[in-house]
Amino acid sequence: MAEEVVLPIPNLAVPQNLYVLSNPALKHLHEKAKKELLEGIKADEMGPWYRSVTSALSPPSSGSSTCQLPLDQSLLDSLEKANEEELKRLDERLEAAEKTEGEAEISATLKARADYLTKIGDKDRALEAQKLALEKAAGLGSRIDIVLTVVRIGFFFSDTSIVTEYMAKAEKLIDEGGDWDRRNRLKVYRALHFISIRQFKRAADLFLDALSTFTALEVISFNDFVAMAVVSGALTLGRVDLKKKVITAPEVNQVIPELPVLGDLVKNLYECHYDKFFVALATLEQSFLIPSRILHPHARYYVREMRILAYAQLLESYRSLTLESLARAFGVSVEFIDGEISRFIANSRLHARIDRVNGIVETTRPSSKNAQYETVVRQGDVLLNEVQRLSKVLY
Amino acid sequence: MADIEMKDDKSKDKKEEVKEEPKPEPLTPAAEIKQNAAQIARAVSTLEPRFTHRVLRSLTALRKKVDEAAIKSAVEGVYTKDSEAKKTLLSWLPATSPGSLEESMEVDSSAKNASEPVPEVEVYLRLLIIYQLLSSKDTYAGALDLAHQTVEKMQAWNRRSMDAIAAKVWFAVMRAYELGGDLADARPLFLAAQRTASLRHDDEAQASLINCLLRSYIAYNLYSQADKLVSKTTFPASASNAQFARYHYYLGRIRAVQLNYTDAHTHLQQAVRRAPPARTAPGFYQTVNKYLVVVELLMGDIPDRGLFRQEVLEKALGAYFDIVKAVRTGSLAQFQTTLQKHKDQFEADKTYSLIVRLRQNVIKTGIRRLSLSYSRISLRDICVKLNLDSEEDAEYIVGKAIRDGVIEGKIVHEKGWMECMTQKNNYGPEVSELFGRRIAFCLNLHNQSVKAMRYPLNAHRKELAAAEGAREREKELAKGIQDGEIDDEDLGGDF
Repeated sequence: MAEEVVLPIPNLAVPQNLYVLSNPALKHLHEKAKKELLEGIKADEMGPWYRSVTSALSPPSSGSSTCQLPLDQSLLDSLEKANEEELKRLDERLEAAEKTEGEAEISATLKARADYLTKIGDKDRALEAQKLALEKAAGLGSRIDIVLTVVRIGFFFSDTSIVTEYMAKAEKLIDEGGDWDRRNRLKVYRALHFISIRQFKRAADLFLDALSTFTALEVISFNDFVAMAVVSGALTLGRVDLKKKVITAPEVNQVIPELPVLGDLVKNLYECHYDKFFVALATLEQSFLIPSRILHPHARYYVREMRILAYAQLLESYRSLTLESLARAFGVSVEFIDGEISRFIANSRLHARIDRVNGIVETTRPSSKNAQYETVVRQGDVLLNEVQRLSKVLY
Repeated sequence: MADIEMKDDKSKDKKEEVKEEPKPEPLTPAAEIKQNAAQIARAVSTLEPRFTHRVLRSLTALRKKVDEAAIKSAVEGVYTKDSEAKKTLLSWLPATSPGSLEESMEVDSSAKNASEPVPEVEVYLRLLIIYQLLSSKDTYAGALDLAHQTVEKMQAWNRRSMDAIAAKVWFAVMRAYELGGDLADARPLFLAAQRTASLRHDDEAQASLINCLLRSYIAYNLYSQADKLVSKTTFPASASNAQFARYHYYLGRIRAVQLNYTDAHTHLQQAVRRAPPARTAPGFYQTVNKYLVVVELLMGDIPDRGLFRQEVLEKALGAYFDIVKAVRTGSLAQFQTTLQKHKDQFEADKTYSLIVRLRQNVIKTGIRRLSLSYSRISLRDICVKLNLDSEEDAEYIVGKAIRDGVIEGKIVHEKGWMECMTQKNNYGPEVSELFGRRIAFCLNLHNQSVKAMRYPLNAHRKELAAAEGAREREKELAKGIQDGEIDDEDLGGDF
């Protein structure tokens, strides 16, 4: 089985650019995104996708024309012509193969056809073709590759049902006997899926695992990969792990010069320079979280959780603390801190109480007994509701 | 459920003359009706109400499938020619095309009884016809008349085996009145019937009738009368889950209007628990949850956000989710705007009057959140945070909240601040009570399940035979030892 370089089809940078374009808040990134988007479309001859995208964007949504991709009819025509020619050629090859050559040729041609359909971004036909190729594929390795391609299609169109279904298939196949390269590749895919559904903990574990053996360039670039690893790790790892796996990791240090905000974030959190940490967090949100197609829905959640992490870390060392010193440590106003902390305390995320008159925050050490009692009662009631349904049998 | 299903197939196999004929799926509605009729007859003859219950359980699914042709062919199939009952039944059905008659020619082995079927079957068929008539607006009057006639006949017959079907008929009567006429007119009829039912110890009908009455009172906002009804009657404990669910729901609504929110909450929760799963009865589930949300807000608790994300509830409870958000943030302005926006929906759901009471709650919730986060806070700050007009206002409201027991704390007037105690004392003396109730519930359920277990009829005979065989062997063994033929070495292997 020759080592094949997995091609980046469909090109996942393209929907990211599209997302940037469609978001009017990101005007400053539009020019660059539009250029890259058109280049990507032309390079991959993405006729059908281009058509679906422009017809989706051009109906009356927002007034400004800069955030839409204007339909360039000539480009569309040329792309579609190229698509048809290529498909015709592939179909002829397929017929010839079926008549004359053997199984291996047929499956190779089928795979090529499916890959072409995937490349040009025609979702339904590509899925069918891939399924057909999957049935005829010989060898466990090529089957795994096809399944992973379908998962990539799922990522491209943000179709979580496809992703979960084929991810499960891939896991099963790899358990049967995939090689390490494919295993690591699957780890990256799974991590990406988890982070897109807000399971930061599991995503962090997988990302950091795969950090040293990353080869899956077809789904995400190395810089982006490390960035996601750092982002998810900062939220979910304890201090020891944070130091060991993120701050001193060689891959992370390799990427830090290009994305300094990540380094700032993690180092300041670890060394308790909370004011710089806040600045880094804000920059991270603006520059990385909001423009990202995958992380955008979780941006607010992420920033809130990081803030709670920072406050909890600071309050852990103190029995009581003045509001002013707290405000000074974070580099914000007393009012802001007061509002934040009171909100989080009322939602039981922080264990403290504020004495507003004297401007002091006192920490309380909650006994786990209360928390356990509450969970027992609450979840027990849910369970009892379910059990009561069983009693219907009696009547 | 597994063993009931198995017995279902077994009994059906027994009825069909041909052995081992698998149940054809899916049955046509007409064939299904005939099968049900045969089941009911069996129930009467063997005095086992289980079969009737099974038939009735399939009623909701069945009535969506049948149409007039199906009922007509079923009637023809079940009754012999020229029977009195058949003529009356057919007279209620409008004329249908002759093409449907061929269905009655099908070889349906289960309906070959030549004798006159039992009256229960007639009542069952009448029930189906009533529902059929209720499905379209112009036949409401017909449904009403048929319902009256059926009710008279039922009372005349007074058969215990008809009880389960009778309860369903009462429900149909109520629907007929509601859709066709004035529900208030039905009240005397229901009241009389309820008295009779309780005299005859007819639990199902009693439960059904009490629910009908409550529904009619609440529909006209006669809460005090409904309350009196509840206090004067005892709801039979052996009623089915569905009836209990309805009863708890009505009771919850009455208590909510009477300002008894804790009771209302428990009742509504019971209603949710006893109701069929959300997928099969989405309407009921949604309505009960709407009231549950409002009552929780009135009690001062904020309902869990996960409740609104359930598929069944997402759309229906959208307006209520907005109200919850407004109350949560403690902002009066937001609350007002949300109220205006969804006013029509609330009026349609009849929750408007309850939600208007929430205005006070918005402020109370705001104060509660403050008391959770702050151990000491000046009145001026409270004023700012809650957007109140003045410090005196703040003092007044906080004082009232403390007196009502919303928060625990005290106001230090000279210094101008409020102090709150820590309230993390959930694990207090009432723990044993709480746990005790839940444990009692589980044990109760276990006992009831054990009581309801059923054993196949002749299984004990097999056991007897086995026991017989074992005893024979033992006797031989004993004889052998006695005669000295078998001694210790031979017996050693037995262990």
